[in-house]
Amino acid sequence: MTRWWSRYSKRALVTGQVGLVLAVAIAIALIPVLDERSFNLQRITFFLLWYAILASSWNMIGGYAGQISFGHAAFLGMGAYVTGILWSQLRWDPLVTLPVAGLVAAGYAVLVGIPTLRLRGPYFAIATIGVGEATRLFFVNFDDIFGVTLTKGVTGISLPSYDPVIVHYATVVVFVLVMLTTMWIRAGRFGLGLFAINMDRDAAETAGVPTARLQVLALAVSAFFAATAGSLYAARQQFLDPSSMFGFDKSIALVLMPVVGGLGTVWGPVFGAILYSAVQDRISSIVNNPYLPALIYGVLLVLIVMFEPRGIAGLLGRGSTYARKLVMPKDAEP
Amino acid sequence: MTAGEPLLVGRGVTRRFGGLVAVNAVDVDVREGEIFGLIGPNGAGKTTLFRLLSGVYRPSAGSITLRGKGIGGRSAHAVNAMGIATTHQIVRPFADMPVEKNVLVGVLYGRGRLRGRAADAEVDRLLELTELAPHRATLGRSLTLARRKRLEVARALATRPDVLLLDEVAAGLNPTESARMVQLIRTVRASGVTVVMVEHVMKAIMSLSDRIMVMDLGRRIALGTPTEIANDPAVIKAYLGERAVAS
Amino acid sequence: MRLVEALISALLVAGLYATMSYGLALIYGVMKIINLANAGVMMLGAFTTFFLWQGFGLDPLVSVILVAPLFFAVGAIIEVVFVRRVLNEKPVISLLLLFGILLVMQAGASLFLGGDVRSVRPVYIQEVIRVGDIVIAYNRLLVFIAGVIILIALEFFLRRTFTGRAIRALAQDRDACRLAGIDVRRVSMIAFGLGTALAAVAGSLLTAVFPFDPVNPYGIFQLKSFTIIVLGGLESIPGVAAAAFVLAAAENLTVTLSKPQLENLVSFVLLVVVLVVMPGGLAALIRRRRVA
Repeated sequence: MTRWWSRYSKRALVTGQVGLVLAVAIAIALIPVLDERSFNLQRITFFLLWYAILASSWNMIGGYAGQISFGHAAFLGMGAYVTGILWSQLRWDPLVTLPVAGLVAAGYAVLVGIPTLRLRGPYFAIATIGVGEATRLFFVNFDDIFGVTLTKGVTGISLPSYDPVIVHYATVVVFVLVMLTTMWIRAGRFGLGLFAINMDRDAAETAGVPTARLQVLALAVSAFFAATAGSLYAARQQFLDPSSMFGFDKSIALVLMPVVGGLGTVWGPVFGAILYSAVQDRISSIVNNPYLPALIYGVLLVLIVMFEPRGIAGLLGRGSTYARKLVMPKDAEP
Repeated sequence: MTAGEPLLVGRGVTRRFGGLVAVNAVDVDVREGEIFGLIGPNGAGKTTLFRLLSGVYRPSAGSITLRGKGIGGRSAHAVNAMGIATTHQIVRPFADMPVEKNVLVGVLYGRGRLRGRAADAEVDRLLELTELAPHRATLGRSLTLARRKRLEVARALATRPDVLLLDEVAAGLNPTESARMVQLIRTVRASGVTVVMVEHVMKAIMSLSDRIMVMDLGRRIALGTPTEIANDPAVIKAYLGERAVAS
Repeated sequence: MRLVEALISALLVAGLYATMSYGLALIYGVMKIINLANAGVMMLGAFTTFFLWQGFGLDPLVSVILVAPLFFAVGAIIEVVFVRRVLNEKPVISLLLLFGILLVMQAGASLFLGGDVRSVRPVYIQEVIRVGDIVIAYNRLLVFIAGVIILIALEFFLRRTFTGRAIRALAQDRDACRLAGIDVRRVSMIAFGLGTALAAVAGSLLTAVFPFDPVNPYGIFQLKSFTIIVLGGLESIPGVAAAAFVLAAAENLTVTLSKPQLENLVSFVLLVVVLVVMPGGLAALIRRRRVA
């Protein structure tokens, strides 16, 4: 049987990384088993994994292919609303709606990606600002446009309650899936093609890489996972409104986490998510001003880009050789 | 040299940029198995014709076919999939990838459809062929110019082309490096790949080519063996100017 | 009649749109980067004008004379300290850098200047001019005239001065300019400064028509600017001006004939339509700079 990976993808490290993901997943999955009343810890770990899912999904298109999306909240929010509406109106089990939400967002990503990703230059990045805003406006005005009562505009919708422990497990499963996907992409032919596009699109094209198709596919996979994160949110929070899902702060967070953590690395987005959820948690309990964290993030972004474009993963890599190999295999860096 | 069947054929190929006609109704026939040289003074339209042949540009008029199948209007990767591989005049390695991965991109996305161990073996073979094996772990950005040029060739060959288009692969190389490149191109042709090359280094192109086409001001002014070309008055005029011929 | 009024109103807003977009086009032309901080600079320009008006009673249109050189300097500094260092990196890096600078501008302004909605209200803000049945807002007319004067001055600068010609040459072929002995770094700095000054001036003009706050509308202005330069091409001021009018007209008609909430959707829809319908034209636009 032929291997799907090449020897350059360093199988031992891939195995090590899968082990690490499973260890993290099992530890977090055990939290509600060990202590049923650990609501606070469950909430913290839910959001940690939630942000990690979002950051990793963004990284597939932004980090691997180098196409920055400033409107990824569109996919997140779309997933949340698909689940929210199917669950509140039709009583579909939220877990059943999870793949539905993912596929709807992936389809949307293909529609958006085909005109914008085949062009060179920054068209995609700018178009995503429009995608984010257009999608938000669509959901705000949804009821007016179609003459129905589904999204309830800016007021948002309340959802029936659902067992948070089941959502906790589902989040762990989605986290494992997104991590396996991101590793699989990075280790194989797909990821190599994306990195080639990232470094020189024309050269990739002449080396036979179907650049437009690959990028659209990466965007679709990315949107799929971002939407499942939205579904998980809808299942857990029992309330959805456009500003919590489509807000500019969400789009900022989505760019920030993978970049600060380490663009194009497997673990960088997870580090970014840890940092981001910690900062959000701490700062919001100290000062009640959303602009202070935004200012910090802006400064952090500038510093990272100027001095350590590989983010936290790059910094860790400077420390320990093994950590470098695990979090940031040296070959095929974006 | 045995003249093979026409492989890559252009008829009335024209390309305009705004008001400028860079390539004007050029006919070109590249035969299977030959080394076909393309020369001309600066601004003659060589590079434009090259980009038309590789599918980077679409012809404004005329047709280009490979074994009878039109390549006009296809994107560069699709042209590659038909069997035409290109090197870039200004070398463009994937800067942050090691040499071996640069080549692997071509192998995995090329026409060989190789995967896994077979792909690894093909990378090894190409690195040996282009004498890059000792530098396989070097990042693209850290290579010397001569090695970058050979990497361009390796990456293009990795896609298993029928026709290899070489855009000034000897330019900027010292005589030793240039001689190695000439040797490499001979080996490539011997393996059955048809080569089309644009070159400023006359020594390289004159010694390598079976036939040479000369362009000036967007038109074809001569076609023949290197010896015929060297003695063609139109060619001398184009290179040296009117008076050189008259005197 | 409402239709005619809507079109005239669109024409007047187009002066503002063209001013804000041309800064983006200028910087993209010379440096091949999208200045995501453009909208942040607009906002800071608006604030500067607001404070000049509040403190000294300076008219927003007059304040342009102070705002332009100030932000030329700001832009030049940003170019030297930040942008220049990442120009040789992948395009992703410059996008992220300028996005970070945008965040710092927006969050900093909100934090230190307050997040409230401000407006500059010169005495003539309520005045209108009537031509037959058509009502034209006086402030919009003034902003339009100011925008036109600025663009004409810019066109003159780009065509008649050595530096201006160097900027245009650089937009066409960076390598050739280096060979021709043009100081590429200096010209890039000037172009970035100029683009920044244009964005800030657009912010000044904005205050005479619209209220503003540190965060909200700027993502949209960013998108509008980009739609305009995609539509109008990167090479000509008339192209940008025409595209600015097309966008403003489409928006005005949407508001007049349909729902006001959908105004911001227009630029996105227009952008996608342009990308889908004329990708050949656009690809040609982008490739033109790749022709060796």
